Amino acid sequence: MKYACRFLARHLAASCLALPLLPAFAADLGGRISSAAEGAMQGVLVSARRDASTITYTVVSGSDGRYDFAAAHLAPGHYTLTIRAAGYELAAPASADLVGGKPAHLDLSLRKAANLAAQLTNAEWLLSMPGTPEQKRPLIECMSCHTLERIAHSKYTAEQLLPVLQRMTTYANNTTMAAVQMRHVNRAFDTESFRKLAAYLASVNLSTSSTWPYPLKTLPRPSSRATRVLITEYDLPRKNIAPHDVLLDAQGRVWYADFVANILGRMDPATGSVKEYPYPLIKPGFPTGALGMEADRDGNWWFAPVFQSGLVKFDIKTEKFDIYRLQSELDGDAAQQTMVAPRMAQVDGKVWANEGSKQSVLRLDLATRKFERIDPFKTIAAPGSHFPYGLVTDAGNNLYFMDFAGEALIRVDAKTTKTTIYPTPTPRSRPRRGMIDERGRIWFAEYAANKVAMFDTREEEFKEWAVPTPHTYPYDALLDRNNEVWSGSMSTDRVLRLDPATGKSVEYLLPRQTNMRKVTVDDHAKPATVWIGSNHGASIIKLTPLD
Amino acid sequence: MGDPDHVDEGTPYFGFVKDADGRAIYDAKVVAVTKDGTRLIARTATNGMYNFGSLNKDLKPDDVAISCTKDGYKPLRIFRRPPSSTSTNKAVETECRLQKG
Repeated sequence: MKYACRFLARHLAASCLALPLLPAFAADLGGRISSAAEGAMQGVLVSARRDASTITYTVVSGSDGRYDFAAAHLAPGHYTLTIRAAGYELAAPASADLVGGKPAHLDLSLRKAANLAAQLTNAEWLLSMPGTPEQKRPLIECMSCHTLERIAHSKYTAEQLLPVLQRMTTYANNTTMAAVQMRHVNRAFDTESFRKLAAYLASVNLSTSSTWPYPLKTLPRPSSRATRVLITEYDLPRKNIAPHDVLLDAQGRVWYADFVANILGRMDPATGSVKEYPYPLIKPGFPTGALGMEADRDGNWWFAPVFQSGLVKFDIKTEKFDIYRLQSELDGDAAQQTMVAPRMAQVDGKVWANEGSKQSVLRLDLATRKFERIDPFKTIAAPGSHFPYGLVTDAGNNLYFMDFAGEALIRVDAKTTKTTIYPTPTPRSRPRRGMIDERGRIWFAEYAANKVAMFDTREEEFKEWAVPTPHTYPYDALLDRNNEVWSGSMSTDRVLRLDPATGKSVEYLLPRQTNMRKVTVDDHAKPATVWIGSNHGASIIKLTPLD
Repeated sequence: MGDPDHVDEGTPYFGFVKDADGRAIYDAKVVAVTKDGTRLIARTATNGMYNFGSLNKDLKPDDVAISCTKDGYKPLRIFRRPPSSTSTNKAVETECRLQKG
């Protein structure tokens, strides 16, 4: 495919390099979507994939039922079309041939879906299932590894479910259905709590009947601004790749940490081609893969290799790895580093990380390669009651972290290591991940509170915004150059765009089940584009709003 | 299963900030400082309530100093209601009274 850079004069070089330039004979594809039940249908996602390509483009039908792939600049070829609209399916297979830049018109007819249950998101299952919020709350743990559809379809009784739940405590958190990994130290198993959970699950699954004893509810289809979007999905080379954090380098190339394998990946957004960089086993026999990833000032990637423990640095120029191992007194079978924060390491030569198994944070001295462990809760909390998760660092390399097992943002002073704890206004919020902006404001997701929040480090004040869709469980939050906040969900397949000034938001539905973790915004691109890893779907997604 | 959702078994520390007439003060800043210098900072809600969550049950209430501030107000009194030895309620409630001026 021949590409040309169209917007060089208007954009930074980084974004220009990242822009898939227009094929010489780009053609348009569009048409009208309708069904017997609704007539013209708004908010239907239409996806087009060219034969043998790894890239799928998706647009959304507007209020008149029309879809249009003009923004995708499709290259000539034979395309297969698929749709997403809860409760519907294509009445017949759809495909189109694009030839020599000529527009192609293809109307699509939808019919009622034969199997609605297969289309439900995790959030829609939670909306459908009867029960109290407290009964449903433990289910949000399950989504880390698999969909709730698996639970809904199970036929286990409460008695049979109890050993199943016990087995779940033996799996590593970096487990997917395509890559199951065992922990060396099991999670705590509180029989009474799990007995209650088993009884609840048995009341909402198929243990007593052949169909669910409650109606299946679906979320509304996209409308208005949520239909003005182009979604580009790049398939990764293997189905068991689990891109967790997806980030861009200065050249606009896309990098990802594989959650279940010791591999750093790099994708060319123009072609979708992938280069993988494997790094050695740090702790043989322990679960592999990395979670948190961040660049230092020089653009080198640092990532936290979970149960492999320690930290890993990838030199962007030499393309060599440097492994920072935990000292033996800090290591152990339960040791896990899930987060790393090297962004301000130039200030004092220190890189922050976490130690989830000891409710502590770690600080790596780059000069000595030694870690020190700091327990911010040692005098004020019982062991195991907190879990440092998302890390951000301010201009002085002071650490702020989110207590994912609790309800607070915590500051650790870089010079004194003294701790200040800021409880979020919403109790039991389970703050997860976020970022700090140039004004010292931390934007982060309150996972269990279903909110996005901002903490002003200068004023020591919070603001919170409720996410519009119930059971979204936002994972991360990121402020873009337009002062809009972006967040992804592990349960709704929707990307949130929030204007904190007005509180108004848009939710963009993705074309297939997408377990999202970190969100990344390319602020150099115009319009700003959002990048996300499909953690369970082995793909990387670019979302381009068209307004 | 994902990361843990912890059920805390510590001692809840919470309370209210009110004016001299007992009216709730919104957005007052409440600071708790433990003996080792760890600070907790919260703001009051519209009903004047703040909440520090649960702290280690072995921590003595007297080892947690609490103060409250709000622009346009000065300190008046602080009431501490430690957990009763006979009650099942083990929360530590601290009420700050501020007066205008």
